[in-house]
Amino acid sequence: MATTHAGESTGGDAGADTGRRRGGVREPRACRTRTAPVVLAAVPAAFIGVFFLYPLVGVLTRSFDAGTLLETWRNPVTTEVLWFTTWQALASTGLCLVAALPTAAVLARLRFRGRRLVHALLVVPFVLPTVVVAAAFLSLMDRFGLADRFHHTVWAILAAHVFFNYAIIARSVAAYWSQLDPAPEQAAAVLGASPLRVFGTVTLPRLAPAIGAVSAIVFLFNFTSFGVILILGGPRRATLDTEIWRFAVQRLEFDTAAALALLQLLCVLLLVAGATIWQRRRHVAERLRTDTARRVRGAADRLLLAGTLGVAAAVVGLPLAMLVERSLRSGGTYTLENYRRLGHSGERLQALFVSPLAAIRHSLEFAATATAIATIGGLLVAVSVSGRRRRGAAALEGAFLMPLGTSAVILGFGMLLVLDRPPLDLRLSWWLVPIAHALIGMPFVIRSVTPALAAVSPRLREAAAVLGARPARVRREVDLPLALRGLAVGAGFAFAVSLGEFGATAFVVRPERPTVPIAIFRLLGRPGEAAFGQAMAMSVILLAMTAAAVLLIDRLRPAGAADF
Amino acid sequence: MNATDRSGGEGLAVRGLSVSLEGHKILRDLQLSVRRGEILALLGPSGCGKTTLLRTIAGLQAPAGGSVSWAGEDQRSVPAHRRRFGMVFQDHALLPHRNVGANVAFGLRMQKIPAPERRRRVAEMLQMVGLEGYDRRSVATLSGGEAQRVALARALVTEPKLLLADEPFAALDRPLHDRLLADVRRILTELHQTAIHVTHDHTEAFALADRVALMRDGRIHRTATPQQLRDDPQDAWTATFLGLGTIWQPAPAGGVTATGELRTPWGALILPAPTAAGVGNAARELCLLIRPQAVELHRPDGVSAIISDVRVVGDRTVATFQVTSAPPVDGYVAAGATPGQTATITLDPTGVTLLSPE
Repeated sequence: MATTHAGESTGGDAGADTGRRRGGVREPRACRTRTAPVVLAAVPAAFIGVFFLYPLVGVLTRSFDAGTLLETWRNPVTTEVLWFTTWQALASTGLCLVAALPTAAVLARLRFRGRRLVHALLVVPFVLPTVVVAAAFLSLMDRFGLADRFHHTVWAILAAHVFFNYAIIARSVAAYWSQLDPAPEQAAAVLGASPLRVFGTVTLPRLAPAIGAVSAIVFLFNFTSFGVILILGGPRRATLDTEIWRFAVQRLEFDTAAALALLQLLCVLLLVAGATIWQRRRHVAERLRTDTARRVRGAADRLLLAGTLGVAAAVVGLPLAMLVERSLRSGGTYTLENYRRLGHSGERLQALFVSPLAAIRHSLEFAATATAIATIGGLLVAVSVSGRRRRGAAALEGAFLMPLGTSAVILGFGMLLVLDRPPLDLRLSWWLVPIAHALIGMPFVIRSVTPALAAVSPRLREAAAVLGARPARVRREVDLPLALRGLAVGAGFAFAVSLGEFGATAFVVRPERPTVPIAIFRLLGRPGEAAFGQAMAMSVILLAMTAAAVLLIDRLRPAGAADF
Repeated sequence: MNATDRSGGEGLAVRGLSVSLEGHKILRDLQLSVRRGEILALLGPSGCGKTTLLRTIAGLQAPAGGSVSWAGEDQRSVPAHRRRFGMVFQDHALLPHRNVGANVAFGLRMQKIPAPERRRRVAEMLQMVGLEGYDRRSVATLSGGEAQRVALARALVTEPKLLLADEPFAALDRPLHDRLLADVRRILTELHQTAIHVTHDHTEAFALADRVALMRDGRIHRTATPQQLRDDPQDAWTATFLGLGTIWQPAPAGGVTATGELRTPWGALILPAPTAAGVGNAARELCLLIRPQAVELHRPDGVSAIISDVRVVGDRTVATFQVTSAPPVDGYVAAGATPGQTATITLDPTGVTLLSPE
């Protein structure tokens, strides 16, 4: 049985790939604006250089200079941590695939009412703050009386990771799957293959590139998971990232933390390199269609659909429902007491230094600032990338996406390490948090705006030029309005990401200016039912803020825009 | 320039133009001139470089060599947005985020024309292209023909020195195509608009243009009026591309009698005097264009042929006649002829044109 992916293996770069996928004829280049772009990228480049690369270099030099590098690496505890980090990530990824692939199949192949809504709702877990997820699982265990058995065990961690990444796998595999031409499957069926056989011999191999790519990303997320492990794993379950935080923030042993950070960076680098090579090898030129899903018909379809939606609801909905339920319970009855207490700073002053409501204000201020920085920087990068040749553009864009591939913990640790002396003594600065958040948010803006700009037909620019518009005017009159939706989507993501950011914030936050996730983390660390209830209430508020941002994004998202 | 021509003075002059795209030579040493007020059709098969030539004239494509000038002024250093040429793109290239009125007004805005005058001129132009009252419509709601009219209005409203139209009707159905063609011809003539109209369809080129520049492999093959091209295509490639009839190449230097008669599989042919002289002189290969009207039926001295194919072309019926040991030849027949029938055919010399072979 012939499968279509057998031939035509090309080692094209990512840029060429997207060019092909858009399916457009190659446009002869002209009317190209050569002057401004490089200069435009200079400002965000300086930003990345100072606040990302410089701290990263700081981590590296610290780990080499300390002289305790090998000692730390040889320590059996380190080996144990590395082993746990790896196997929990592998196990989480495997479980995620098992849970998500059937959902992906249904989303890809069946067209039903509310399909778009399901798609939209499935983004929610991805941008959900890690502390909210951890809180949700705490409340889930609390509700079913499992806290004693499962809290601080690997099972709680695995479950939370499945919750987190289930939607990423389902969405991205479904998106690819729904664009696959069903003809090869039909051909195999006509040749006498049973449906199961067709799936195994044709569909699965065709999906392999998508599944492989998303698995690598999910593994990376799980490998560098921080908040979930810190809260659900407790002191006995440590990964590289939580150990870096413990040594750097709690014990102030920067040398050990730097040695662990170097180890983490090497592991991530190895993983990314491996995944890239694998993807190049597996690269297949598939002709992608717009959407090949078919209508739901017959009882079997309906049963399948109901089952899938049920699983999705259980995986994604149940923990969140329990979180909301728990936030409304206090002293054995349903009440708004937990929320009411958020307004009082009184007895909680010791734990938080400020009232929970103040934390909400901080979070909104930080998020607004970070979004502004990320949006302007991302727009500049996207404009400069869109004016270049493909190979150069891919490299330039890649450089600006780096913070996305680096764990927030390393980012925060680096900033903590190097931004403490003149001329950049920012230890006490209000700006450190929004800068860290902007670094993480900017790649989202770039990833939303670049495709929007690339989708602007060169014909439109040419038409405007022939009608008398100068190159700068063409950008203002044609590119900017058409990229505005992408920009809004990117800004929304940057805002949501900033609201929930925990890993980097945990390093650079000032004790008297906590964000909502930090406040929740501190409340969870306090004994007593009241603190726990308040943490749940704050988690629900953070959940609502994030969900609102995300649903707004999905409204704005043009069809076929980049998925993260 | 011809002073008696209705057109004005010197307009566009393209000299020695060559353009390469990604290492491929698209235009080679191309010459072309367009007088003011003239409508020139740039006619050629797909991939011959028509669009590239148009884009180079517009300033959207940098030439590797040669020059483009307007009224004697070299345009090489003038960027596209200062050339004040208008362009109609095949895919319209209407700005999707602006309505019809704003699209048409775009060029006027770039020229800093004040709003009241802008509105007046946009309204006038929309009326001219038959889209009165469309100015608030979203461009997404337009049909193909309407979008084409908006694109034309947008280009014309700025009163461009030269209008460049790139296969604007290629995607339209036949009746719409013909109606728009007539409208465009009327509008361009009314405005005395100098225009280059790119097309691969010779009927469109003949219907619209004062002159036709035939393009082949990155060069202008020949420039002539539609009538000249039809009556004297001169070479086999042109006759084939224009679909004028059957091309026949006899054996080299063979078959011409002393009286100037040419022996053909369809009988002896007395060629018109100048043609016969040409043939007589030619101890070289020659080539004949046999137009459908040359094929005469039911003459007693005819050759027996079998009809192998019958099809309707315009309001005539064309049949393909098969004669033993000769290529098939097309001729008009009465409606009702069917494949498989036999007929006797002869050639009328007035329908035969001598070509240089290619």
